[in-house]
Amino acid sequence: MNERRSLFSRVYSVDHETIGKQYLWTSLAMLVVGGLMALAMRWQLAWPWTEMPVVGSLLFPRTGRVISPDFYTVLFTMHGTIMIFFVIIPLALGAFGNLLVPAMIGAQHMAFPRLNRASYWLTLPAIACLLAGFFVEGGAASAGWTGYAPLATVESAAQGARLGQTLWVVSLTLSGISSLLGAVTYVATIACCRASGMTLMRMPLTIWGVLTAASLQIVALPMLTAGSVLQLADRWLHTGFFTPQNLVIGGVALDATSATGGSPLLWQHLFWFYSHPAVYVMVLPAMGIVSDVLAVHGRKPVFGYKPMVIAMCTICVLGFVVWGHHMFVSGMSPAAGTAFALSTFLIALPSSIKTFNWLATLHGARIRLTTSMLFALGFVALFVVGGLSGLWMAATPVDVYIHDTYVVVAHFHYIVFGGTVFAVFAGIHHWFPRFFGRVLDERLGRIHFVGTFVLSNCVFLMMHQLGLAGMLRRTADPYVYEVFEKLKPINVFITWSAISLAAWQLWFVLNLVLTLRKKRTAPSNPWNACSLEWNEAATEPIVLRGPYEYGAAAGDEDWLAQTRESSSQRVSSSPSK
Amino acid sequence: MRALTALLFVALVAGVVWSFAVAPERGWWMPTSASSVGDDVDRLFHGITALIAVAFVGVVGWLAWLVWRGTRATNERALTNHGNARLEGVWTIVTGAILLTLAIVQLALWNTMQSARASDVKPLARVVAAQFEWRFRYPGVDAVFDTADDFETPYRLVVPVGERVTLELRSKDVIHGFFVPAFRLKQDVLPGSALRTWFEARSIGEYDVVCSQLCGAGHYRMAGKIQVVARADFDAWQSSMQLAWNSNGKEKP
Amino acid sequence: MNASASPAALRARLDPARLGVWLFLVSEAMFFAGLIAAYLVVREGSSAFGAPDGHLSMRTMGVATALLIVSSLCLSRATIALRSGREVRVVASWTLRAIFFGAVFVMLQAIEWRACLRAGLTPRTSLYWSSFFVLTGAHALHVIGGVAWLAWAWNSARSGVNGLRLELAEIYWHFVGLVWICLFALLYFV
Ligand code: HEA
Ligand code: HEA
Ligand code: CUA
Ligand SMILES: [Cu+2]
Repeated sequence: MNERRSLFSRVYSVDHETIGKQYLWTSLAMLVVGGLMALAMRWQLAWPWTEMPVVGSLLFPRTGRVISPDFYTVLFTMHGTIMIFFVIIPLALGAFGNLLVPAMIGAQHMAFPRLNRASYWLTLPAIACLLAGFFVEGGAASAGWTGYAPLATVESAAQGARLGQTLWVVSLTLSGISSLLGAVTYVATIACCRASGMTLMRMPLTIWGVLTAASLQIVALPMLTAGSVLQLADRWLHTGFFTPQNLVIGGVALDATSATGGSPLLWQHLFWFYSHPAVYVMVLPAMGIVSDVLAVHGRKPVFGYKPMVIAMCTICVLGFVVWGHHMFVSGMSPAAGTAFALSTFLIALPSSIKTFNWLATLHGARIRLTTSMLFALGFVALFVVGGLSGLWMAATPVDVYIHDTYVVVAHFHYIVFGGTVFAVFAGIHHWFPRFFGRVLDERLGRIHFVGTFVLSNCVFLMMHQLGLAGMLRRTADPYVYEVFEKLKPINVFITWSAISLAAWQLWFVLNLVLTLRKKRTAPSNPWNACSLEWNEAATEPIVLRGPYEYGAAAGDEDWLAQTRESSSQRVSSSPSK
Repeated sequence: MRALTALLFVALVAGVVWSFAVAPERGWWMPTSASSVGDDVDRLFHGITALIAVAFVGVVGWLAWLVWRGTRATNERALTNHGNARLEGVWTIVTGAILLTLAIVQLALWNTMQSARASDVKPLARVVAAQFEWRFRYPGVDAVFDTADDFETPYRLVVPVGERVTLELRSKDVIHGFFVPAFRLKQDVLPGSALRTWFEARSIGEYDVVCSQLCGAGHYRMAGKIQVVARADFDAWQSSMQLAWNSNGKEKP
Repeated sequence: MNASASPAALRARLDPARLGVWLFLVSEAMFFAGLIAAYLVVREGSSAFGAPDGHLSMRTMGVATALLIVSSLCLSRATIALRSGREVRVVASWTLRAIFFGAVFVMLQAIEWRACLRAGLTPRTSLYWSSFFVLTGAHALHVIGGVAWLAWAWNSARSGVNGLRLELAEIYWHFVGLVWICLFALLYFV
């Protein structure tokens, strides 16, 4: 009895490290789910309407083992929603926020441990809610992860617009509340619980990434929540916020069944006001992690710490005034289009500055090609690819053509998979010893990196050409237009690459399993890193300098821990001044 | 590992350059533009592409070199360099200038493309989108919609070549997207409002109309055609259609 | 920011609980900003917006508004008493009054709703009524939440423990009152 209670309290724990690990495993599991959905989409795009081998018979018995047009819309909707709300954001903020924030700023615990626990445990009903959609009549939501009205809000508009869509909205609202609780916890902890001497300008950039991302969540998320409330009202109370007059959808005249006169664009504004900042929520912590990994494994201080911090804060602020770049062809006023194009070009500047600083950090570095370093370097390369294609879209006349084509799909997969997911792998390999007491196997890690780097490019690079040729996203069968027949070889190639990419992740799974079965034999600071999480001697550590004292001038070895007493006067050159 | 890593980044550069170099002649590229704005759009696109190509090759190439350099066997340490304000200033200003120029350069074209939004010229036709079909309604001789002499065509929009054609876009149900790749023209079709767009077809021929905005399970097959004909043929076609429409006594709106 | 600031000093400068509540309020403010923005968009943008056409009872909700303000004032008195170290009885009784007026506000809101529904006005009647029910409903839920929070704070203030809870609840309570004044102005004077 007592035994069981202790087990319960260990699982339902207020300990941030436990919560961080719970976030980590949950999101990685969801990555597999979302990834397998991607494979199903890829199957359809390479060989439309053909029977899916093996799994087809248990997945789609009713449609004769093939994906139905309806189910394809469900697939990308669920893939997108899961990957963004239940993989990338929980990984970037939930997992690394919990594991690293207290450890890196020398806090004994989070400012609000119980809120923090609630934040994790709310994600489970949110996930359950979302997946429940598959089992209700009409099936899961199918209006895209952007859930545009009226396709999403009017039940007769699509199969998935019935109970499935309601579950989708509820799920998003739950995960929204969860994210909010988490974000408030991280910001308050960073603001109030730093160890003595840990000034803001002595915090590792990872913490700045979490801080800026969490602030974005606090300010931007409520807009999506407001939108969700209105969408639920439109669905349940038949209000008409998003429903214009005299529509007839699926034979139902809406003026008779609900209030009308609303505006479909209203939803898009509310949605993107959150979901653009959300994309920076996905990348800011990743940028921080990469900066730290580059410094530690390059044995050189981060170049331009202050500019890096300023750039992150600028992204954080500008992130609020560019949401309209998702709506250039939506029918909003041309003047608004102009304004949003200008702000979008401007927000590319801080990211550029960060890129240059990463390169400068590597300049003259003594690079150790550990797995986490490899993934960090991969991040820089692939983030640049994805970021630069963003400039095409920022140019409104070009975006008119590119919008809703595979160029967009290529753009964000490069940044989100090549970027954030790579940063997550880098972070896992880097901090695994700290939190699991074991060093992940480097050989398996390198194999995993090389394959993942090559294959992810095989998957996403040629999507640019598909998009330029005019192939649209969210189409179950591009080949109904015979002009797209010639794109089939590319799609087949991409599909094989995607399957291989997914399968290649098994190296990582294997590495995790094998390593976790070993004994906890890792040295306390295997990378000789300066930051606090590796050097907590005292329970109340005293921080003496910035987190990046590496290289020639840094003491007798090539590094000086943040807490380490030292005669070296060069400490004053640290950015903390 | 050292060589392999550097190689990976070089290979990335090579792969990207290759994929874009071979794309045009293999037809993995925009269809040849057939509208007046099309060429301008392509010019802007190629300009930006050139710029980001330079940025990309430069950055990733440099990255490859830095990895190669930084991993060479040596026992001297990296120098403890926390940054350089002047350098930061330089690349901030340069990149900022580039971005700002881009932002300003692209404005004029955008305004041209949107110029039909406010104009009060009579539309040549009304595009009526519905799950999952395109219908095109012509106002007839009186050039006024919803009068006795209107007529409608499913699937195929016929327009005269070399003239500025204004369209009115309406949707009966959800949001659709009126996309004509060859004209570099895309405009979402919003239910509840009558947006306007325009194009000027350069050459006679038949072009795809594609629904670009997710509108339900049939989105992928919501196709249409634009047929560009000489003015004379257009007038002839219009009057014949009108006769046919009225004679087989289609109900009046 | 001086390097030798101890955690204690930092905490003294910035109390996490108070900061947390303010961050939460930023979020809440954005939430209502979203709803209000949506309301203004449909009001200005739509021909079919509709109107209250005199179905609203200015008297009921005028009184309710007044009571909510009074309630806020009572709560300020409570926290003033708390800070000036008056005995808990005083603090508790002022808090109790604040709670009472808050509860009455909810009742009046319910009466207003009942009257409208009786008159056959529902969220689907017109966009105005859509907005009316959603906005006042969302706010009413916040008031109920606030009353619960106050009751909890009252309970702990009464037993002399943790006056901080009361001060935090106060911040939230004033916010809820402020939001109502905006909603009242926007919904009742169209
Ligand atoms: C982590 C996620 C992430 C990040 C960081 C970004 C970053 C950027 N995004 Fe992206 N974006 C998405 C995720 C992201 N995006 C998603 C998910 C969508 C699609 C949503 C949907 O519709 O489903 C999207 C869609 C999207 C659109 C809408 C496309 C459309 O639907 O028509 C646009 C348009 O402007 C855009 C622009 C940009 C720009 C300019 C940046 C910039 O911040 C990029 C800045 C980076 C660089 C510029 C590269 C590095 C710099 C250098 C190498 C220096 C040299 C540079 C110069 C010479 C200028 N993005
Ligand atoms: C945010 C994160 C994210 C991530 C990581 C991914 C990852 C992938 N995505 Fe996704 N994608 C989105 C976000 C993401 N996507 C979004 C937001 C959309 C838009 C949705 C919409 O339009 O509404 C989208 C849309 C989208 C489309 C367009 C669909 C359409 O518009 O019609 C496609 C098509 O190819 C695609 C493919 C892929 C592939 C092949 C991967 C691969 O990287 C996945 C690789 C697989 C894994 C990483 C999992 C690992 C698996 C295992 C470890 C299990 C072992 C493997 C086997 C047993 C085989 N995605
Ligand atoms: Cu109509 Cu897509
Ligand atoms: Cu965006």
